[in-house]
Amino acid sequence: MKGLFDWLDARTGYRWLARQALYEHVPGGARWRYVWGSTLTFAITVQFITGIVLWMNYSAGAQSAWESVYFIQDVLPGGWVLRGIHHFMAQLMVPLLVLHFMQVMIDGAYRAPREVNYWFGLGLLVLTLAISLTGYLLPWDQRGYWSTKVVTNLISGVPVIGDKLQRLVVGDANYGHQTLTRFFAMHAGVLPALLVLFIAGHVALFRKHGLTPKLPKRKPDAMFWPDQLLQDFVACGVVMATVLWLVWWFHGAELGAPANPAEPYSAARPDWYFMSLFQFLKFFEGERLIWGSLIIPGLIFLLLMLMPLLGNWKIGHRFNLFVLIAGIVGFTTLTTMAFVKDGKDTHYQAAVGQAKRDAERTKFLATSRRGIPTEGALALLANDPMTQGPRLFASQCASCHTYAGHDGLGAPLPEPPTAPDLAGFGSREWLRDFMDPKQIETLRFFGGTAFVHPKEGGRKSKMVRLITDKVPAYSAEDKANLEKILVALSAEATLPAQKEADARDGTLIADGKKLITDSALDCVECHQFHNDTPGDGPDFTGYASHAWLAEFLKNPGHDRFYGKRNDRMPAFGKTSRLGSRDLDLLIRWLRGEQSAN
Amino acid sequence: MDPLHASDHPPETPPPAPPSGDRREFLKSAACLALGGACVLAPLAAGVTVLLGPLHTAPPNGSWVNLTKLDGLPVGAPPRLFQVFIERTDAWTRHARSAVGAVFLERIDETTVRAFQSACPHLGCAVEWRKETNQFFCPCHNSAFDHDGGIVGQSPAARGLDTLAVEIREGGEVWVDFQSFKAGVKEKVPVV
Repeated sequence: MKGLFDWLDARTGYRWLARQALYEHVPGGARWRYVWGSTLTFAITVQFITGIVLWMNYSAGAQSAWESVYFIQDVLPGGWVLRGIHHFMAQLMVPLLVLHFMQVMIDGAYRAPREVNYWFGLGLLVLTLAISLTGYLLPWDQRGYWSTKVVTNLISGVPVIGDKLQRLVVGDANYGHQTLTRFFAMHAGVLPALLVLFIAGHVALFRKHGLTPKLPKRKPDAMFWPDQLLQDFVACGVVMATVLWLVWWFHGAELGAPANPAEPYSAARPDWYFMSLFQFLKFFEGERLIWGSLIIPGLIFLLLMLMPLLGNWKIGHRFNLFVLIAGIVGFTTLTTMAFVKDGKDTHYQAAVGQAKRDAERTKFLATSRRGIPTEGALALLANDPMTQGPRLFASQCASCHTYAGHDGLGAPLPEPPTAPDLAGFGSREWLRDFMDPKQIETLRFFGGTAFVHPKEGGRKSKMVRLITDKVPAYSAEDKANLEKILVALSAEATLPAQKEADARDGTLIADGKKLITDSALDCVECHQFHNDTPGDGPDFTGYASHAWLAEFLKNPGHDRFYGKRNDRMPAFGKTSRLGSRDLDLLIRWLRGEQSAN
Repeated sequence: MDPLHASDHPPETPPPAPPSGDRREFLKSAACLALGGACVLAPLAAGVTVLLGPLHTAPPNGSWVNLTKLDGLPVGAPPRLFQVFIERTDAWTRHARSAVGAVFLERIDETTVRAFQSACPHLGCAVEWRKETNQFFCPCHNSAFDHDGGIVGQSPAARGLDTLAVEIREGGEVWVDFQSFKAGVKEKVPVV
């Protein structure tokens, strides 16, 4: 065996290399404060390993990026852990960089003759942030899309060449395939290659000049192997454990709803380590923007570049330490300000909630349909009643109606509703509550309408009077009949949620149907029911069914429905407020139906 | 002598330094650099040409889109957001309907409709209409705009919301010239 290694060493000289690598002199012995450079090298190794496997499963295209990340995250076994490690290690690299920087600063390891090494380090800092920035867009979700849009718009602020630079970065006038291919090539190719070169330079110069010991030395000199390396690996273990814990705690990295340029995203935020810059930009009005986006950050970077030269004077070193502390305080303050503001902002919280629901819904649709159509995940959402219904309700119905007390999207109405709450419309419960003398005049039903508040000189509507005056006097038999009628009427809606109950109660429904026409309650005095004579009240034939709602929404003032008694319900068929596709989505959502395809 | 040891232990006999002023040596070095440079020049030139490609393609900025009809915009209703879909080729993919942005439409009177680009003139986030304040608000850096699109208070935005040209065509169709404008500057300059 020894002969084989001797032969290999004679041919390659590997022992000398290993010795060079491991027997670095550590003056004053191993110390915990020296571990940060190693943890960063370790972090980068982790990013390379996880990144390459992610790369093997990722597809950079406007209709395939989100889709492939969803595939990694939700379909591939262990994919969420892999992506989680990549994501959270990137998050952790920022504090590790800061710790490394602090150690180098405080111990004075940045000064002559180590200036060039320090500059390599600064380069590594910038490269790391650039890799994070370009990686943020790749999942092509709403968050990445809208945050990166801000960044590329900032690029257009570069004097003279800004517009062209932005065009080159985006690759087109609009975001699309070319933006993703570029960002991906930068993230996985150009920037990591530069990173490796800079690390090589950084480590080579570190070895050339040796370690800068923290004075006074507490222990005898030691060797990198195994003394310092042991401590380094303990630190790497802590870093890795933290990352795994974060992955477990957050269930992997977030994947938001797919990027949609036509769907405003009110929770666009950069990753946490850029939140200070994000907050900083709020302070610059109008065209002073360039101070916040370029000039001041540029000057700060220039100052960082000059630090090793200043550090050669004692006062310069003190000044550098002051700048370091001020920088950390500033960074922390701005970051905290940004997060505190978002924490208090109900609009922001609502947007985050909405984005989460959209994301979950897209993943659910993709999974339940065994894949995403070629048009991409956006098409899934665009044709989904559960996604579009609430939005249409909020924009078209929620000026008068509520849905379960809110505007469909969870926000309260600015003014009290003037029309019934439509959650569960047509269900047995809804109809029972409607017929309840105590409830009919509340805002949930007719409490806000002209049926309860007639014009001066008018009377409350016949139906309201029936419920408030006659229903309380119903005999036990009448009450039993009313229940049968309501069950039968509700069955007309053929609600998906009541499918089983309707099938079970066949006889009850048949009785109820007869009672609608025949009983003393005499519904057909005012309501049409499977015949051709319109009454004063709305048609009960297929009441609250998809077809009924479609006709009703087109023209509620039709004789079949409210006729001239229609209060303020608009006729959507007479205007262009809602197209037939939107109407269909809205109705399906109200009724709890899935999409047609 | 193991070349790997070269840096550790200087070789006992250093290679002879080139005689200074040697014309032959100079020509050799110059030729070396020129030839090496020329070799890399071809792929470099090809690469840079393709990289700069997007500067020479000029996709049309501004496409007229029909968003609704006049009767879809009741007079007195608050500004309503319309998603904008255009026919577009994204690199190699032809989209019959590609989502590119959103526009706020508001009926001013019987025959007039006002259109605002929803992209914030500050840095391009999408502004929202807030009914409780009667203002447009950008949820990114807190720029606020009044009902007419003018800047409110100390907003980071350099100009008010960008209006878009509107035409009412036959049958009351509302057409809007959808465009994007440069972010962060006082003047409203279309992105080209």
